[in-house]
Amino acid sequence: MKIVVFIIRSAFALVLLAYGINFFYHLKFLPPVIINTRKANDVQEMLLKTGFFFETMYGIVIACGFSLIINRFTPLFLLILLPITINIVLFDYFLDPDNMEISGPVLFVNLLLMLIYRKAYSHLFYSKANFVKFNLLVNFKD
Amino acid sequence: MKYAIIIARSVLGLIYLVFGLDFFFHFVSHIVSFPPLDDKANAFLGELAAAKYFFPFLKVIEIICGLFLIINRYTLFFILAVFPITINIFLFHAFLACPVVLLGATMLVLNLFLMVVYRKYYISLFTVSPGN
Repeated sequence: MKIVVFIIRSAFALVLLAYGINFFYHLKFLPPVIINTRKANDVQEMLLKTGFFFETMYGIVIACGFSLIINRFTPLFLLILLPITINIVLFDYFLDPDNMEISGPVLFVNLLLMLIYRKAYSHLFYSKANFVKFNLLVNFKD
Repeated sequence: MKYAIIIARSVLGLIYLVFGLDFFFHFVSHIVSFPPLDDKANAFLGELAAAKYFFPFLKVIEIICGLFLIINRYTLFFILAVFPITINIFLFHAFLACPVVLLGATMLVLNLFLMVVYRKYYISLFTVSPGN
């Protein structure tokens, strides 16, 4: 089980790193990302023109890939990555369905890894939470 | 401190609920008028609106999060769930729609404040190397 998780996590991390770095420095060994529809192309052009959107997004993707490869803060970075993968899948599903073959598995693996590390997320689902007294020292006991 | 949290939570919840409902019912423009956005911001929003799926998806999440923040149930989870939206609103306001940057900055500050207040519950997220 441990080895299976290791393989899934490392493969996922390599994919994230490759596509993250590919945005900033074009990598020749990667197959080119083909956009099939005009609509998807228009939206992507617009997002590129903003000058902050893809830079932020791929910066986060590279950080997630790096964290997953060294296996530090894995649950946190999987959670940070989740909104990005959800939006990539929505983009492909509605605008460019042919690319679902790539983005669908990415969301699936992200959710699978979150399921594996579900223990880390258990504290998020309190219905009524008490706020913590405002001191900068965090109590790690509980 | 208790009242600061109640105020922050209600204000953030109200902002999200009002602007979420406004997408479907268009009532805010009758009450307050915002400064007009420049061409670049308008083109950006127009392109996202042309994508059809994007704004309904976003606004439904905003309405749900706003509601839960106002009634103070599952607050921890929903503060975390709106955080990516808040960051993106702030980035949009900061880079493209400078006239209303104060709104984005306020939302980001409120969201971060609430996350700091409830930080005890987020500690388990920061597990350095989890076992399987």
